[in-house]
Amino acid sequence: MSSLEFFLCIAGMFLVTYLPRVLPLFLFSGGTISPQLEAWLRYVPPAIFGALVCSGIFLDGESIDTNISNPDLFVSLIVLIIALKTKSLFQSVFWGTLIYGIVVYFGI
Amino acid sequence: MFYNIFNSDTYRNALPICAAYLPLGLAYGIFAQAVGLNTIEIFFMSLFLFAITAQFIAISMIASGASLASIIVTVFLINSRHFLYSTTLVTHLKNHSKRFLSLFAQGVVDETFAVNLMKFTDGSWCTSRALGVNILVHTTWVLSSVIGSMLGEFVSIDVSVIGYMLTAMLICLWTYTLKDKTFIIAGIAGGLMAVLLVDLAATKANIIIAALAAATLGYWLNTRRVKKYVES
Repeated sequence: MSSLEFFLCIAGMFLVTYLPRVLPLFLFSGGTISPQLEAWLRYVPPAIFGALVCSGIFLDGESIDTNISNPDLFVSLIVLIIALKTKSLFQSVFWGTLIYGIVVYFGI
Repeated sequence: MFYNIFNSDTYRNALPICAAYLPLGLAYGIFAQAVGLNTIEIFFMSLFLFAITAQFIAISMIASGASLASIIVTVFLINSRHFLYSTTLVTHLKNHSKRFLSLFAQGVVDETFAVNLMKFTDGSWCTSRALGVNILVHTTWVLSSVIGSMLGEFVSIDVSVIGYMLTAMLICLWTYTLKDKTFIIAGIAGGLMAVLLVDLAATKANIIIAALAAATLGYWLNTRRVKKYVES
């Protein structure tokens, strides 16, 4: 990729990333959002995070991995319990990464 | 509006996210350097994009010689979820200047969104602290990816373990959003659909489609519940 192409690439990626972030703030910050839309939006966070988490665990590129020996699945169940018990982002990430590292390196 | 962005409350809430972004940023910098980007390019990409998944995928696509248009469309699909984040946060960001909003917008990512929304909903939060969290996490991301790019000449890494950090972080943030049965159903439905739509996974369109459908399911369950309650 030439430097001009790279520049165009960054500019394009910036536009399509920044506009979705900023437009709602500019468009809706003055007025009020309808109660229906607000009620719907409350369900967006669990839905998106569910989609992100499960595709992270079960999707390997473009194929599904539901094998019980999939380390992501096993470690994620532990992280889920830690997260529900401690509600701590730090503890979830710390223990999750540590256990994942052990499982992957020692092939448990 | 810009004073008092950083105080102990800001740091306490940003720190766990920054602690995970630091190794992720290092890994990203090392990876991007290995693909052939220089430090300045890596700096600008992290500054302007600030989107972990999209940046990793864009770099892989650049490395594989994908076309400019296909890279930009993929990045758009991956990052379109930020539209929903900003729309959700906007009720807490009333009466702010365009300058404040345009700065705030750049810091909207999965993690800052989840933490800021949780704090706003608690009622224990204000917009300047939220901006502070955004800026701290963004700064961590930019600096760590630049440092990673400089380390890249000397080390190579196994990204799988560091990549898992992102999953662990998302799992914890997911639990923050599961407030009652309808939220849990919406969450599981979102996960299930994202996996079933595996054919769209190359562009990550499965995430946004699954999220829209599952949010609608949650909304529908909730209206039905409310209706039952009113009728009884």
